[in-house]
Amino acid sequence: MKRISRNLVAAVALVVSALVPAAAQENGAERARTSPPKPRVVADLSTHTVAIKTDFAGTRVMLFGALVGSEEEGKERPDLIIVVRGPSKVYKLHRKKRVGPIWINSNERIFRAAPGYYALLSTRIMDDIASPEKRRARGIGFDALKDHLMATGEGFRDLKEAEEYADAFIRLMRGKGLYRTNDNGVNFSGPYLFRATFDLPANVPLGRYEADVYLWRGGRLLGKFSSKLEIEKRGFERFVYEVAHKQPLLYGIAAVIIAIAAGFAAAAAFRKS
Amino acid sequence: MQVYLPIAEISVNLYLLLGLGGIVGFLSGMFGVGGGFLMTPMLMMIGIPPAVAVATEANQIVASSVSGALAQYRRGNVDVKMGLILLVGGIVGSVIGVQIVKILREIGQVDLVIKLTYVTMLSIIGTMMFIESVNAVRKAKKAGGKSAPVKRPGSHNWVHGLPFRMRFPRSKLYISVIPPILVGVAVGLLAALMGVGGGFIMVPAMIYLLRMPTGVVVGTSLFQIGFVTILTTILNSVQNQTVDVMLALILMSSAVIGAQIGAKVGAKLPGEQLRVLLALMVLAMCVKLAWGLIATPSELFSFAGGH
Repeated sequence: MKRISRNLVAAVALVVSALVPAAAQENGAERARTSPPKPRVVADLSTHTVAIKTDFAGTRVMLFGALVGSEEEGKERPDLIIVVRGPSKVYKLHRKKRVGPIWINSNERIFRAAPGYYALLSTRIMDDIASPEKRRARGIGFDALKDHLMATGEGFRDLKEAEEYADAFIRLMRGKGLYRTNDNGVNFSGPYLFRATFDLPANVPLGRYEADVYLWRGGRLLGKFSSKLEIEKRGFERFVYEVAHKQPLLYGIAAVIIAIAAGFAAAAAFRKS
Repeated sequence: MQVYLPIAEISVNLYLLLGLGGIVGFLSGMFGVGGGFLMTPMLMMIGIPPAVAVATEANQIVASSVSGALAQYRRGNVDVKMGLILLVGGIVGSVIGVQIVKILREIGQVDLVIKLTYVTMLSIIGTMMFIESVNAVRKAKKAGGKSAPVKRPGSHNWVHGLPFRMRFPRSKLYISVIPPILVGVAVGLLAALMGVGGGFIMVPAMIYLLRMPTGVVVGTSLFQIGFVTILTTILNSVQNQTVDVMLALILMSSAVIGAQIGAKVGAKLPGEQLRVLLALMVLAMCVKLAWGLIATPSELFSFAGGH
């Protein structure tokens, strides 16, 4: 799977690279008359749907693209920050408390709208691209995510507690591989083409993902490009999951029948031998 | 090879699951125990959410108990009337148990309660098995290889003084229906909360409490376990959506083979010494689970609902 998608990307990248200079010149010429040329970005994902099947153990998706309209020789190459965000979900978080000899879950707090996946990729160390304040103001990165979590959280006694839970939430999601950072995750090949890979672990939540590409230069945000990705269960897995949730009675009866049939099949098989 | 479990929503190594099913099947075949009380904690240890482990294991027990019960029925070893009375209690216990799981899931304490129940039950069973098997080994040595004589239980106890008496011709009993119903309730609760058949509770209760003849005990308990686990599977599917058919199928496929091999091997090996080993294994599992509850966790925060 991975190899196929990589080859596909390489092929597409070649096509794009052939087109870019012409397109860049056209755009540049048109723009030169109105305003100073700003680089833009066009990008796409190696796949727009990820299907979770029986052998799903996580996958790697590639985002590839090109800078357009940046035929400004001698100028510093712009930097890219890519944010991949999974579907918003409700998460409940507990803090363990000691009761007698055992630790129990208590103090439940709720995050109403936390992304189920968050990957932050960049061409180099984030602080060298833009100041933390600027990134935070644009809603990029884990500081901004923490602000968002605290704003959409529920049940917090005070700001300190909200911060503790938000930090813990991000830590737990990082531990599951669902939140990740890669300072070296976006690579340029040549002056125009770039590509970035991000890994989706096996426990990746289903739903609609958004990949935003932010273009920076000299600490200033130049532009943004968005792309979408759908992650869904397919085949037998999807069927099982859907029946279990939409037809639970039927599912239960089927589970029983399968078990009884398996029991009799085994008994019959071993009686013969 | 990794396999994605659609309800547990995690990816697990297929060979690990097959191996687990095979080992537990082997042990259950060798010792003649149900295996649920070994399998469920092992599933929890490899990362299956406890509620899914419990519900799926109950589904798996359907496979072995129904075919077993039918085989016993053909030989005339099932007291159907007693089985039905036990089943009435089992239905009540199972319904209550599934509701308890539902409520515990909502307040986020289901993992804790399932683990606590396991620690309690495993420590009792492990200790009892250990003492009983060590004594059996000693007696076997004294008797020069002959197996220890079985103590005949007395013919009357407090159970026979209770009201609502009923005749059970197959078991040659005339006793109150209250004790079998209560035994049934306990077994139904265990099936829903622990994902076990409950034979290890029911068989001693039938012999020592109800004074049933040993010939019909195994068949009748399988009869009741079969129906209770069928009901538990359906109720868990409807209420909690925690039955993972995929996981159950994988475990079943290797457990049945393991059980057949275990039964053959067990017949050739010294039973008393093996029971000491099984008791030690149960105690080790209990200590591992208990340690997880009392050790200071490295991470104080956790997600509710196993996700």
